[in-house]
Amino acid sequence: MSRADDDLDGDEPDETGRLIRPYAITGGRTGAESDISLETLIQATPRADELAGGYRWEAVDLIELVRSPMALIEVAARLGVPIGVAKVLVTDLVADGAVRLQVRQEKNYASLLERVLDGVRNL
Amino acid sequence: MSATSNPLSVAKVPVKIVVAGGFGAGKSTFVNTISEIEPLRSEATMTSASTGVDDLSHTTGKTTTTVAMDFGRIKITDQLVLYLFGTPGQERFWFLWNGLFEGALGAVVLVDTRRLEVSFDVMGRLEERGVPFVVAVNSFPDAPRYPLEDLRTALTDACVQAMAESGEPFTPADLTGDLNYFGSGDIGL
Repeated sequence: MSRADDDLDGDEPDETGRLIRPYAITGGRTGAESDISLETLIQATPRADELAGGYRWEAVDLIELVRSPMALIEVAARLGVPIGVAKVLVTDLVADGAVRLQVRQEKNYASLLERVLDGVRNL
Repeated sequence: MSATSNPLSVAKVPVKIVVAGGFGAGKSTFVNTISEIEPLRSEATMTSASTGVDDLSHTTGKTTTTVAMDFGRIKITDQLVLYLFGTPGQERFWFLWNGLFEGALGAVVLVDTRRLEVSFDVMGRLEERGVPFVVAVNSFPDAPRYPLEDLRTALTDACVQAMAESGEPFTPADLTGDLNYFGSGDIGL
């Protein structure tokens, strides 16, 4: 998470110069450049615990949430931060190797739809 | 960025379905009824050029707006977890939100037969974006009941008209193929 800390402590203005408080966490980065989708599942790696000692509260809380996989949008809601802020936090943690992402591998739409329908019918 | 090569301890596939429809059509109730967790709300701050967005266009340059999103989830198999997205309003901003419809399995358009026309815009835009959708007729107690075939005709005509106005190519056959109905009045309203 050194990037966020550096940005926050540094004198360089961020891109937008906006003064929206939640984005203080991210040094003003909005997450708009990130391609993590709302439903991407995030999960802590085995390395998360050793890394967590050097993190600030928001990253520590995030790691606690994703002990088992949780979608980005749910992480944002449970942390109480805007989705863009959650994206930035996750991106930093992925770079550190503290969490990993699971995007949907299924490329066959019809097959996925069938599996969903079967699953719903069996509920 | 790249995830590490270790497999997830529990391999899961997230599936997204967006619940759309006009104000008061029952989107939040729909999500709340199906979700197995207490529904949550997330907010996204969107920055966009102000072109074509009503009153915000009076401000200069970039505009930002905060959009709230209610969502719930339900595990449907050990591998599949379904995320349901609905918003309490602000429909006109949805389509500025990149990533809301991308990758969605599809959308559910909730319609209220007393105000069918408020669904036309959202259906037209889903068609434009190629998002498959089903239409769910929410039967409010004091709403008139129509044969589904009549509703199908009315909505299909509306979609064709919306598409024509947008200048996008369409075929009526595609539209009728995409418009499916499932049971009405069973979402707990």
